[in-house]
Amino acid sequence: MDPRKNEMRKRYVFLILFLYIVFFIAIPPFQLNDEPDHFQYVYYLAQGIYPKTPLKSGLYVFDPSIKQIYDVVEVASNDHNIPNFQKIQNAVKQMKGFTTFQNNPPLTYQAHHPPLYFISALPFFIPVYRLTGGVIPTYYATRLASTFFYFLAIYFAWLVINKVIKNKKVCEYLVFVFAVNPVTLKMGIAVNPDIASTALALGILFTFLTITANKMLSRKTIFFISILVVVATYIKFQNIVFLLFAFLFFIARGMRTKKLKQNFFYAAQTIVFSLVLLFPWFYYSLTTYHSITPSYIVYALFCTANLSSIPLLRLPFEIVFEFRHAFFHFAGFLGWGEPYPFKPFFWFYSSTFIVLIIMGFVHYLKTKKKVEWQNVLLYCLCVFLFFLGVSATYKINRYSCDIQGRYLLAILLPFIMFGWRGLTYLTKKDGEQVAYGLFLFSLWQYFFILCYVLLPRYYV
Amino acid sequence: MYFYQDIMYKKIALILLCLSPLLFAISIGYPIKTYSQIKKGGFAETRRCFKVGELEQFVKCLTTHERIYGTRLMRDVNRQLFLLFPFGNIIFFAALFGAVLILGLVIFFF
Repeated sequence: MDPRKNEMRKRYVFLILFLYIVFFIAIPPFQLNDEPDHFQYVYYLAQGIYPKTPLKSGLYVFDPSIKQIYDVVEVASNDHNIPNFQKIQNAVKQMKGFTTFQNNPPLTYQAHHPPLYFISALPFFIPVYRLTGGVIPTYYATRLASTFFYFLAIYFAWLVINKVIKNKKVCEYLVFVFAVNPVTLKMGIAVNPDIASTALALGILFTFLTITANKMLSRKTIFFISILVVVATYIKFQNIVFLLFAFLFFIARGMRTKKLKQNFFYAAQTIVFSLVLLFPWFYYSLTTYHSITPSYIVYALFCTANLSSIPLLRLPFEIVFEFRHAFFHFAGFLGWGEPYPFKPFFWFYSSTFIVLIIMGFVHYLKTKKKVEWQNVLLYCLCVFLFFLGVSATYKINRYSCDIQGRYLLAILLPFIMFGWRGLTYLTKKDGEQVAYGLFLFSLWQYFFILCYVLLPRYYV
Repeated sequence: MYFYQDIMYKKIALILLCLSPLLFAISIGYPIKTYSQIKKGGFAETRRCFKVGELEQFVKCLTTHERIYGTRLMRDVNRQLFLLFPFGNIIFFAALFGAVLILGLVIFFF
Protein backbone atom coordinates (compact mmCIF):
# COMPACT_ATOMS: atom_id res chain seq x y z
CA MET A 1 0.00 0.00 0.00
CA ASP A 2 1.31 3.43 -0.91
CA PRO A 3 1.96 5.23 2.42
CA ARG A 4 1.31 8.58 0.71
CA LYS A 5 -2.14 7.50 -0.41
CA ASN A 6 -3.80 9.39 2.41
CA GLU A 7 -1.58 12.46 2.30
CA MET A 8 -3.01 15.82 1.36
CA ARG A 9 -1.80 16.82 -2.08
CA LYS A 10 1.06 19.32 -2.09
CA ARG A 11 -0.73 21.94 -4.18
CA TYR A 12 -3.33 22.42 -1.43
CA VAL A 13 -0.65 22.56 1.27
CA PHE A 14 1.25 25.23 -0.68
CA LEU A 15 -1.92 27.19 -1.33
CA ILE A 16 -2.73 27.16 2.41
CA LEU A 17 0.86 28.13 3.21
CA PHE A 18 0.85 31.14 0.85
CA LEU A 19 -2.56 32.31 2.03
CA TYR A 20 -1.36 31.99 5.63
CA ILE A 21 1.82 34.01 4.98
CA VAL A 22 -0.21 36.86 3.45
CA PHE A 23 -2.29 37.18 6.63
CA PHE A 24 0.76 36.66 8.87
CA ILE A 25 2.54 39.63 7.31
CA ALA A 26 -0.51 41.84 6.85
CA ILE A 27 -1.84 41.64 10.42
CA PRO A 28 0.13 44.23 12.44
CA PRO A 29 1.45 43.41 15.94
CA PHE A 30 -0.93 43.10 18.90
CA GLN A 31 -4.10 43.33 16.78
CA LEU A 32 -5.49 39.97 17.85
CA ASN A 33 -7.24 38.85 21.00
CA ASP A 34 -5.38 39.64 24.23
CA GLU A 35 -1.98 39.43 22.54
CA PRO A 36 -0.07 41.93 24.73
CA ASP A 37 -0.97 39.99 27.88
CA HIS A 38 -0.14 36.61 26.33
CA PHE A 39 3.15 37.97 25.05
CA GLN A 40 4.00 39.35 28.47
CA TYR A 41 3.19 35.91 29.98
CA VAL A 42 5.82 34.35 27.67
CA TYR A 43 8.29 37.10 28.60
CA TYR A 44 7.89 36.40 32.33
CA LEU A 45 8.38 32.67 31.77
CA ALA A 46 11.54 33.42 29.78
CA GLN A 47 12.79 35.33 32.84
CA GLY A 48 12.01 32.31 35.02
CA ILE A 49 9.08 34.05 36.70
CA TYR A 50 5.58 32.60 36.91
CA PRO A 51 3.14 35.52 36.62
CA LYS A 52 -0.17 35.99 38.41
CA THR A 53 -3.52 37.37 37.38
CA PRO A 54 -4.37 40.59 39.22
CA LEU A 55 -7.64 40.28 41.03
CA LYS A 56 -8.63 43.87 40.24
CA SER A 57 -9.40 45.37 36.86
CA GLY A 58 -7.74 48.48 35.43
CA LEU A 59 -4.26 47.86 36.81
CA TYR A 60 -1.30 49.01 34.76
CA VAL A 61 0.42 45.74 34.16
CA PHE A 62 2.10 45.97 30.76
CA ASP A 63 5.84 46.12 30.40
CA PRO A 64 6.61 49.77 29.46
CA SER A 65 8.02 48.71 26.08
CA ILE A 66 5.00 46.60 25.21
CA LYS A 67 2.82 49.45 26.40
CA GLN A 68 4.71 51.97 24.28
CA ILE A 69 4.32 49.86 21.15
CA TYR A 70 0.80 48.83 22.02
CA ASP A 71 -0.12 52.50 22.38
CA VAL A 72 0.66 53.18 18.74
CA VAL A 73 -0.81 50.03 17.26
CA GLU A 74 -3.84 49.23 19.42
CA VAL A 75 -6.60 50.42 17.18
CA ALA A 76 -9.34 47.93 18.01
CA SER A 77 -11.44 50.43 19.89
CA ASN A 78 -11.52 53.20 17.31
CA ASP A 79 -12.15 52.76 13.62
CA HIS A 80 -10.67 56.21 12.89
CA ASN A 81 -7.21 55.05 13.92
CA ILE A 82 -4.77 52.85 12.06
CA PRO A 83 -1.44 51.62 13.43
CA ASN A 84 1.45 54.06 13.26
CA PHE A 85 3.91 52.02 11.24
CA GLN A 86 6.62 54.64 11.39
CA LYS A 87 6.72 54.32 15.17
CA ILE A 88 6.90 50.54 14.92
CA GLN A 89 9.86 50.84 12.58
CA ASN A 90 11.53 53.28 14.98
CA ALA A 91 11.03 50.78 17.82
CA VAL A 92 12.68 48.07 15.72
CA LYS A 93 15.58 50.36 14.78
CA GLN A 94 16.14 51.40 18.39
CA MET A 95 15.96 47.73 19.41
CA LYS A 96 13.46 48.62 22.08
CA GLY A 97 13.68 45.81 24.62
CA PHE A 98 11.68 44.87 27.71
CA THR A 99 12.13 47.17 30.64
CA THR A 100 10.12 45.48 33.37
CA PHE A 101 12.16 45.38 36.54
CA GLN A 102 12.67 42.08 38.25
CA ASN A 103 11.13 43.35 41.46
CA ASN A 104 7.92 44.52 39.79
CA PRO A 105 4.94 42.32 40.64
CA PRO A 106 4.76 39.87 37.71
CA LEU A 107 1.16 40.45 36.68
CA THR A 108 -0.74 39.70 33.52
CA TYR A 109 -4.46 39.31 33.00
CA GLN A 110 -3.94 36.10 31.02
CA ALA A 111 -2.15 34.21 33.79
CA HIS A 112 -5.45 32.49 34.54
CA HIS A 113 -4.57 30.23 31.59
CA PRO A 114 -2.50 27.13 32.36
CA PRO A 115 1.11 27.54 31.21
CA LEU A 116 1.70 24.93 28.51
CA TYR A 117 1.09 27.04 25.39
CA PHE A 118 3.31 29.77 26.81
CA ILE A 119 6.05 27.27 27.61
CA SER A 120 5.82 25.97 24.04
CA ALA A 121 6.41 29.55 22.81
CA LEU A 122 9.70 29.82 24.72
CA PRO A 123 11.87 28.06 22.07
CA PHE A 124 10.78 30.79 19.66
CA PHE A 125 10.97 33.66 22.14
CA ILE A 126 14.28 33.07 23.92
CA PRO A 127 16.75 32.76 20.98
CA VAL A 128 15.34 35.77 19.12
CA TYR A 129 15.22 37.89 22.28
CA ARG A 130 18.82 36.92 23.13
CA LEU A 131 19.95 37.69 19.57
CA THR A 132 18.08 40.92 18.92
CA GLY A 133 16.91 42.17 22.31
CA GLY A 134 14.00 43.85 20.55
CA VAL A 135 10.33 43.52 21.45
CA ILE A 136 9.04 43.54 17.86
CA PRO A 137 11.34 40.86 16.34
CA THR A 138 10.73 38.72 19.44
CA TYR A 139 6.98 39.23 19.07
CA TYR A 140 7.05 37.97 15.46
CA ALA A 141 9.18 34.99 16.49
CA THR A 142 6.71 34.15 19.28
CA ARG A 143 3.92 34.10 16.71
CA LEU A 144 5.70 31.09 15.17
CA ALA A 145 4.50 28.94 18.09
CA SER A 146 0.97 29.56 16.82
CA THR A 147 2.15 28.84 13.27
CA PHE A 148 3.31 25.43 14.48
CA PHE A 149 -0.05 24.71 16.15
CA TYR A 150 -1.95 26.04 13.12
CA PHE A 151 -0.32 23.45 10.86
CA LEU A 152 -0.71 20.79 13.56
CA ALA A 153 -4.44 21.63 13.70
CA ILE A 154 -4.66 21.24 9.91
CA TYR A 155 -2.83 17.92 10.11
CA PHE A 156 -5.23 16.60 12.77
CA ALA A 157 -8.20 18.03 10.85
CA TRP A 158 -6.97 16.02 7.86
CA LEU A 159 -6.69 12.82 9.94
CA VAL A 160 -10.12 13.33 11.51
CA ILE A 161 -11.90 14.01 8.24
CA ASN A 162 -10.23 11.02 6.58
CA LYS A 163 -11.59 8.79 9.33
CA VAL A 164 -15.12 10.10 8.86
CA ILE A 165 -15.42 10.85 5.13
CA LYS A 166 -13.60 8.29 3.05
CA ASN A 167 -13.45 10.37 -0.14
CA LYS A 168 -9.97 11.93 -0.45
CA LYS A 169 -11.02 14.80 -2.71
CA VAL A 170 -13.86 15.81 -0.39
CA CYS A 171 -11.44 15.64 2.55
CA GLU A 172 -8.96 17.93 0.79
CA TYR A 173 -11.57 20.52 -0.05
CA LEU A 174 -13.13 20.54 3.42
CA VAL A 175 -9.80 20.73 5.25
CA PHE A 176 -8.95 23.65 3.00
CA VAL A 177 -12.23 25.36 3.98
CA PHE A 178 -11.30 24.88 7.65
CA ALA A 179 -7.72 26.10 7.15
CA VAL A 180 -8.55 29.37 5.40
CA ASN A 181 -11.49 30.34 7.55
CA PRO A 182 -10.63 33.82 8.90
CA VAL A 183 -10.94 32.69 12.54
CA THR A 184 -8.61 29.71 12.02
CA LEU A 185 -6.15 31.97 10.23
CA LYS A 186 -6.23 34.76 12.77
CA MET A 187 -5.85 32.44 15.75
CA GLY A 188 -3.08 30.62 13.87
CA ILE A 189 -1.22 33.92 13.83
CA ALA A 190 -2.07 35.38 17.25
CA VAL A 191 0.08 34.92 20.32
CA ASN A 192 -2.86 33.16 21.97
CA PRO A 193 -3.47 29.55 23.12
CA ASP A 194 -6.70 29.07 21.13
CA ILE A 195 -5.09 27.48 18.08
CA ALA A 196 -3.01 25.12 20.25
CA SER A 197 -6.17 24.22 22.14
CA THR A 198 -7.92 23.50 18.81
CA ALA A 199 -5.04 21.36 17.53
CA LEU A 200 -5.09 19.24 20.69
CA ALA A 201 -8.90 18.99 20.64
CA LEU A 202 -8.80 17.66 17.07
CA GLY A 203 -5.98 15.31 18.13
CA ILE A 204 -8.20 13.96 20.90
CA LEU A 205 -11.11 13.50 18.49
CA PHE A 206 -8.85 11.62 16.07
CA THR A 207 -7.55 9.35 18.86
CA PHE A 208 -11.09 8.43 19.87
CA LEU A 209 -12.06 7.83 16.24
CA THR A 210 -9.25 5.27 15.96
CA ILE A 211 -10.66 3.22 18.84
CA THR A 212 -12.63 0.52 17.09
CA ALA A 213 -15.69 -1.08 18.62
CA ASN A 214 -14.36 -4.49 19.63
CA LYS A 215 -10.80 -3.64 20.47
CA MET A 216 -9.68 -4.30 24.04
CA LEU A 217 -7.87 -1.25 25.38
CA SER A 218 -4.62 -1.65 27.25
CA ARG A 219 -3.76 0.46 30.25
CA LYS A 220 -1.10 2.10 28.05
CA THR A 221 -3.78 3.30 25.61
CA ILE A 222 -5.93 4.67 28.41
CA PHE A 223 -2.90 6.44 29.83
CA PHE A 224 -2.10 7.91 26.39
CA ILE A 225 -5.67 9.24 26.07
CA SER A 226 -5.44 10.73 29.57
CA ILE A 227 -2.11 12.39 28.73
CA LEU A 228 -3.65 13.91 25.61
CA VAL A 229 -6.60 15.33 27.57
CA VAL A 230 -4.26 16.60 30.28
CA VAL A 231 -1.92 18.29 27.78
CA ALA A 232 -4.94 19.90 26.09
CA THR A 233 -6.23 21.11 29.46
CA TYR A 234 -2.82 22.49 30.46
CA ILE A 235 -2.98 24.47 27.21
CA LYS A 236 -6.47 25.82 27.78
CA PHE A 237 -8.72 24.90 30.66
CA GLN A 238 -11.85 24.59 28.50
CA ASN A 239 -10.43 21.29 27.19
CA ILE A 240 -11.30 19.65 30.50
CA VAL A 241 -14.63 19.09 28.77
CA PHE A 242 -12.99 16.18 26.94
CA LEU A 243 -13.19 14.20 30.17
CA LEU A 244 -16.95 14.35 29.70
CA PHE A 245 -16.42 13.35 26.06
CA ALA A 246 -14.28 10.39 27.14
CA PHE A 247 -16.95 9.32 29.61
CA LEU A 248 -19.83 9.58 27.10
CA PHE A 249 -17.72 7.94 24.37
CA PHE A 250 -16.96 4.88 26.48
CA ILE A 251 -20.53 4.58 27.76
CA ALA A 252 -21.88 4.78 24.18
CA ARG A 253 -19.27 2.23 23.09
CA GLY A 254 -20.24 -0.05 25.97
CA MET A 255 -23.91 0.14 25.03
CA ARG A 256 -23.12 -0.54 21.38
CA THR A 257 -20.91 -3.56 22.10
CA LYS A 258 -22.92 -4.68 25.12
CA LYS A 259 -19.80 -4.44 27.28
CA LEU A 260 -20.93 -1.61 29.49
CA LYS A 261 -19.02 -2.66 32.58
CA GLN A 262 -15.70 -2.93 30.74
CA ASN A 263 -16.14 0.43 29.04
CA PHE A 264 -17.27 2.09 32.24
CA PHE A 265 -13.99 0.92 33.72
CA TYR A 266 -12.09 2.52 30.81
CA ALA A 267 -13.96 5.79 31.37
CA ALA A 268 -13.25 5.74 35.10
CA GLN A 269 -9.55 5.03 34.51
CA THR A 270 -9.24 7.89 32.00
CA ILE A 271 -10.93 10.34 34.35
CA VAL A 272 -8.92 9.29 37.41
CA PHE A 273 -5.57 9.36 35.54
CA SER A 274 -6.39 12.78 34.12
CA LEU A 275 -7.56 14.28 37.39
CA VAL A 276 -4.44 13.04 39.16
CA LEU A 277 -2.25 14.67 36.51
CA LEU A 278 -4.31 17.86 36.65
CA PHE A 279 -4.11 18.02 40.44
CA PRO A 280 -1.08 20.41 40.51
CA TRP A 281 -3.03 22.99 38.50
CA PHE A 282 -6.13 22.64 40.68
CA TYR A 283 -4.00 22.96 43.80
CA TYR A 284 -2.15 26.02 42.47
CA SER A 285 -5.40 27.71 41.38
CA LEU A 286 -7.11 26.99 44.65
CA THR A 287 -4.25 28.26 46.79
CA THR A 288 -3.57 31.32 44.60
CA TYR A 289 -7.03 32.39 43.43
CA HIS A 290 -9.29 30.48 45.86
CA SER A 291 -10.99 28.84 42.89
CA ILE A 292 -10.18 25.84 40.71
CA THR A 293 -11.40 27.85 37.70
CA PRO A 294 -9.48 31.15 37.83
CA SER A 295 -10.84 32.01 34.38
CA TYR A 296 -14.19 32.56 36.02
CA ILE A 297 -12.67 35.34 38.15
CA VAL A 298 -11.20 37.00 35.08
CA TYR A 299 -14.55 36.88 33.27
CA ALA A 300 -16.02 38.71 36.21
CA LEU A 301 -13.30 41.37 35.85
CA PHE A 302 -13.47 41.81 32.09
CA CYS A 303 -17.14 41.33 31.33
CA THR A 304 -18.93 44.41 32.59
CA ALA A 305 -22.28 43.54 34.11
CA ASN A 306 -24.17 46.23 32.24
CA LEU A 307 -26.81 44.24 30.35
CA SER A 308 -30.40 44.61 31.47
CA SER A 309 -31.64 41.58 33.37
CA ILE A 310 -33.36 38.96 31.22
CA PRO A 311 -36.77 37.56 32.21
CA LEU A 312 -36.57 33.91 33.24
CA LEU A 313 -38.76 32.69 30.38
CA ARG A 314 -36.60 34.41 27.76
CA LEU A 315 -33.35 33.21 29.33
CA PRO A 316 -33.01 29.81 27.53
CA PHE A 317 -33.59 31.51 24.17
CA GLU A 318 -31.03 34.22 24.95
CA ILE A 319 -28.46 31.63 26.08
CA VAL A 320 -28.72 29.74 22.78
CA PHE A 321 -29.07 32.90 20.65
CA GLU A 322 -25.73 34.08 22.07
CA PHE A 323 -24.03 31.53 19.81
CA ARG A 324 -24.82 33.71 16.78
CA HIS A 325 -21.68 35.70 17.57
CA ALA A 326 -19.50 32.66 16.92
CA PHE A 327 -21.04 32.25 13.46
CA PHE A 328 -20.67 35.97 12.74
CA HIS A 329 -17.00 35.59 13.59
CA PHE A 330 -16.58 32.65 11.21
CA ALA A 331 -17.81 35.00 8.47
CA GLY A 332 -14.62 37.02 8.85
CA PHE A 333 -14.33 39.05 12.03
CA LEU A 334 -10.70 39.98 12.63
CA GLY A 335 -9.00 41.88 15.43
CA TRP A 336 -10.25 41.59 18.99
CA GLY A 337 -13.89 41.58 17.89
CA GLU A 338 -13.79 44.20 15.21
CA PRO A 339 -13.25 44.88 12.29
CA TYR A 340 -15.94 42.89 10.59
CA PRO A 341 -17.05 42.32 6.98
CA PHE A 342 -20.04 44.13 5.45
CA LYS A 343 -23.08 43.42 7.62
CA PRO A 344 -25.29 41.87 4.89
CA PHE A 345 -22.46 39.41 4.20
CA PHE A 346 -22.00 38.22 7.76
CA TRP A 347 -25.74 37.90 8.31
CA PHE A 348 -26.11 35.92 5.09
CA TYR A 349 -23.07 33.77 5.88
CA SER A 350 -24.13 32.96 9.46
CA SER A 351 -27.75 32.16 8.64
CA THR A 352 -26.79 30.01 5.64
CA PHE A 353 -24.12 28.18 7.64
CA ILE A 354 -26.54 27.46 10.50
CA VAL A 355 -29.25 26.23 8.08
CA LEU A 356 -26.76 23.94 6.34
CA ILE A 357 -25.53 22.49 9.63
CA ILE A 358 -29.14 21.81 10.67
CA MET A 359 -29.87 20.20 7.29
CA GLY A 360 -26.73 18.10 7.64
CA PHE A 361 -27.97 16.96 11.03
CA VAL A 362 -31.41 16.15 9.58
CA HIS A 363 -29.70 14.12 6.85
CA TYR A 364 -27.67 12.32 9.51
CA LEU A 365 -30.87 11.42 11.37
CA LYS A 366 -32.54 10.17 8.20
CA THR A 367 -29.71 7.89 7.10
CA LYS A 368 -27.89 4.93 8.62
CA LYS A 369 -25.93 6.30 11.53
CA LYS A 370 -22.26 5.54 11.13
CA VAL A 371 -20.26 5.27 14.34
CA GLU A 372 -17.72 7.89 13.21
CA TRP A 373 -20.42 10.49 12.68
CA GLN A 374 -21.97 9.60 16.04
CA ASN A 375 -18.64 10.18 17.75
CA VAL A 376 -18.13 13.49 15.98
CA LEU A 377 -21.58 14.52 17.11
CA LEU A 378 -20.82 13.50 20.69
CA TYR A 379 -17.62 15.58 20.56
CA CYS A 380 -19.57 18.62 19.31
CA LEU A 381 -22.21 18.11 21.97
CA CYS A 382 -19.62 18.21 24.78
CA VAL A 383 -18.01 21.43 23.52
CA PHE A 384 -21.45 22.92 22.93
CA LEU A 385 -22.58 21.99 26.47
CA PHE A 386 -19.51 23.63 27.95
CA PHE A 387 -20.17 26.89 26.16
CA LEU A 388 -23.84 26.66 26.90
CA GLY A 389 -22.74 26.87 30.51
CA VAL A 390 -20.48 29.85 29.74
CA SER A 391 -23.29 31.56 27.86
CA ALA A 392 -25.68 30.95 30.77
CA THR A 393 -23.10 32.48 33.13
CA TYR A 394 -22.90 35.57 30.91
CA LYS A 395 -26.64 35.98 30.68
CA ILE A 396 -27.47 35.29 34.32
CA ASN A 397 -24.77 37.72 35.50
CA ARG A 398 -25.73 40.26 32.77
CA TYR A 399 -22.15 40.22 31.40
CA SER A 400 -21.54 42.04 28.12
CA CYS A 401 -19.24 39.29 26.80
CA ASP A 402 -19.77 37.21 23.67
CA ILE A 403 -19.34 33.56 22.79
CA GLN A 404 -16.62 34.20 20.25
CA GLY A 405 -15.80 32.18 17.16
CA ARG A 406 -12.37 31.29 18.50
CA TYR A 407 -13.92 29.51 21.49
CA LEU A 408 -15.74 27.19 19.09
CA LEU A 409 -12.81 26.71 16.74
CA ALA A 410 -12.48 23.10 17.95
CA ILE A 411 -15.88 22.34 16.43
CA LEU A 412 -15.54 24.40 13.25
CA LEU A 413 -14.34 21.33 11.33
CA PRO A 414 -17.37 19.20 12.36
CA PHE A 415 -19.59 22.20 11.51
CA ILE A 416 -18.04 22.30 8.03
CA MET A 417 -18.56 18.55 7.68
CA PHE A 418 -22.22 18.81 8.66
CA GLY A 419 -22.63 21.90 6.46
CA TRP A 420 -21.23 19.96 3.50
CA ARG A 421 -23.61 17.11 4.26
CA GLY A 422 -26.52 19.54 4.48
CA LEU A 423 -25.66 21.18 1.17
CA THR A 424 -25.27 17.77 -0.50
CA TYR A 425 -28.67 16.79 0.85
CA LEU A 426 -30.34 20.04 -0.25
CA THR A 427 -28.87 20.23 -3.75
CA LYS A 428 -28.96 16.44 -4.38
CA LYS A 429 -25.58 16.84 -6.05
CA ASP A 430 -22.50 14.70 -5.86
CA GLY A 431 -20.53 15.20 -2.60
CA GLU A 432 -17.33 15.99 -4.49
CA GLN A 433 -19.00 18.73 -6.51
CA VAL A 434 -20.46 20.28 -3.36
CA ALA A 435 -17.10 20.18 -1.58
CA TYR A 436 -15.49 21.83 -4.63
CA GLY A 437 -18.15 24.56 -4.44
CA LEU A 438 -17.31 25.13 -0.75
CA PHE A 439 -13.61 25.22 -1.63
CA LEU A 440 -14.23 27.95 -4.24
CA PHE A 441 -16.43 29.90 -1.85
CA SER A 442 -13.80 29.79 0.90
CA LEU A 443 -11.23 31.14 -1.55
CA TRP A 444 -13.56 33.98 -2.48
CA GLN A 445 -14.22 34.63 1.22
CA TYR A 446 -10.48 34.73 1.92
CA PHE A 447 -9.84 37.40 -0.71
CA PHE A 448 -12.97 39.27 0.34
CA ILE A 449 -11.82 39.46 3.97
CA LEU A 450 -8.28 40.38 2.90
CA CYS A 451 -9.45 43.21 0.65
CA TYR A 452 -12.50 44.48 2.50
CA VAL A 453 -11.58 43.95 6.15
CA LEU A 454 -7.86 43.49 6.72
CA LEU A 455 -6.27 45.89 4.25
CA PRO A 456 -8.70 48.83 4.60
CA ARG A 457 -8.75 48.50 8.39
CA TYR A 458 -5.02 48.66 8.98
CA TYR A 459 -3.56 50.24 5.85
CA VAL A 460 -5.95 52.83 4.39
CA MET B 1 -13.32 21.33 -29.50
CA TYR B 2 -16.34 23.38 -28.44
CA PHE B 3 -16.68 21.20 -25.35
CA TYR B 4 -13.10 21.91 -24.27
CA GLN B 5 -13.51 25.62 -25.01
CA ASP B 6 -16.63 25.61 -22.87
CA ILE B 7 -14.75 24.04 -19.95
CA MET B 8 -11.87 26.46 -20.44
CA TYR B 9 -14.15 29.51 -20.26
CA LYS B 10 -15.82 28.06 -17.19
CA LYS B 11 -12.49 27.65 -15.45
CA ILE B 12 -11.35 31.15 -16.33
CA ALA B 13 -14.67 32.46 -15.02
CA LEU B 14 -14.14 30.52 -11.77
CA ILE B 15 -10.65 31.94 -11.29
CA LEU B 16 -11.91 35.47 -11.91
CA LEU B 17 -14.81 34.89 -9.55
CA CYS B 18 -12.54 33.72 -6.71
CA LEU B 19 -10.19 36.63 -7.27
CA SER B 20 -12.98 39.18 -7.77
CA PRO B 21 -12.53 40.90 -4.35
CA LEU B 22 -8.83 41.37 -5.09
CA LEU B 23 -9.47 42.61 -8.64
CA PHE B 24 -12.25 44.87 -7.40
CA ALA B 25 -10.05 46.34 -4.67
CA ILE B 26 -7.19 47.00 -7.09
CA SER B 27 -9.30 48.44 -9.89
CA ILE B 28 -11.99 50.31 -7.92
CA GLY B 29 -10.01 50.87 -4.73
CA TYR B 30 -11.15 52.42 -1.49
CA PRO B 31 -12.86 55.81 -1.16
CA ILE B 32 -10.75 58.18 0.91
CA LYS B 33 -10.97 61.58 2.52
CA THR B 34 -9.03 64.36 0.83
CA TYR B 35 -6.44 64.72 3.55
CA SER B 36 -4.88 62.63 6.25
CA GLN B 37 -3.19 63.56 9.43
CA ILE B 38 -0.75 61.75 11.66
CA LYS B 39 -1.70 62.18 15.28
CA LYS B 40 1.05 63.45 17.49
CA GLY B 41 2.70 60.74 19.53
CA GLY B 42 0.08 58.08 18.89
CA PHE B 43 -1.96 56.39 16.22
CA ALA B 44 -2.23 57.47 12.63
CA GLU B 45 -5.54 58.78 11.38
CA THR B 46 -7.30 56.68 8.75
CA ARG B 47 -7.91 58.13 5.30
CA ARG B 48 -10.95 55.93 4.69
CA CYS B 49 -14.23 57.78 4.49
CA PHE B 50 -16.16 54.68 5.55
CA LYS B 51 -16.17 52.47 8.58
CA VAL B 52 -14.98 48.96 7.79
CA GLY B 53 -18.05 46.72 7.56
CA GLU B 54 -20.54 49.48 6.70
CA LEU B 55 -21.66 48.73 3.15
CA GLU B 56 -23.95 51.76 2.82
CA GLN B 57 -21.18 54.15 3.79
CA PHE B 58 -18.80 52.40 1.43
CA VAL B 59 -21.17 52.66 -1.55
CA LYS B 60 -22.05 56.28 -0.76
CA CYS B 61 -18.40 57.26 -0.41
CA LEU B 62 -17.50 55.45 -3.60
CA THR B 63 -19.75 57.74 -5.60
CA THR B 64 -18.79 61.00 -3.91
CA HIS B 65 -15.18 60.74 -2.80
CA GLU B 66 -11.74 60.39 -4.29
CA ARG B 67 -10.45 56.81 -4.44
CA ILE B 68 -7.12 55.18 -3.81
CA TYR B 69 -6.61 52.33 -6.28
CA GLY B 70 -4.27 50.61 -8.71
CA THR B 71 -0.55 51.22 -8.49
CA ARG B 72 -1.00 54.04 -5.96
CA LEU B 73 -2.80 51.68 -3.60
CA MET B 74 -0.19 48.96 -4.03
CA ARG B 75 2.66 51.44 -3.55
CA ASP B 76 1.01 52.65 -0.38
CA VAL B 77 0.50 49.17 1.06
CA ASN B 78 4.03 48.27 -0.01
CA ARG B 79 5.48 51.27 1.85
CA GLN B 80 3.60 50.52 5.06
CA LEU B 81 4.43 46.82 4.98
CA PHE B 82 8.08 47.72 4.57
CA LEU B 83 7.89 49.89 7.68
CA LEU B 84 6.06 47.19 9.60
CA PHE B 85 8.27 44.18 9.04
CA PRO B 86 11.74 43.83 7.50
CA PHE B 87 11.12 42.67 3.92
CA GLY B 88 7.45 42.26 4.91
CA ASN B 89 6.40 43.86 1.65
CA ILE B 90 8.44 41.42 -0.44
CA ILE B 91 7.18 38.37 1.49
CA PHE B 92 3.58 39.65 1.35
CA PHE B 93 3.52 40.29 -2.39
CA ALA B 94 5.50 37.12 -3.19
CA ALA B 95 3.07 35.02 -1.13
CA LEU B 96 0.07 36.76 -2.68
CA PHE B 97 1.48 36.16 -6.15
CA GLY B 98 2.23 32.53 -5.26
CA ALA B 99 -1.29 32.04 -3.92
CA VAL B 100 -2.89 33.51 -7.06
CA LEU B 101 -0.63 31.38 -9.26
CA ILE B 102 -1.36 28.12 -7.42
CA LEU B 103 -5.05 28.95 -7.24
CA GLY B 104 -5.05 29.48 -11.02
CA LEU B 105 -3.20 26.19 -11.56
CA VAL B 106 -5.46 24.24 -9.19
CA ILE B 107 -8.66 25.52 -10.80
CA PHE B 108 -7.42 25.37 -14.36
CA PHE B 109 -5.45 22.15 -14.57
CA PHE B 110 -6.67 19.82 -11.83
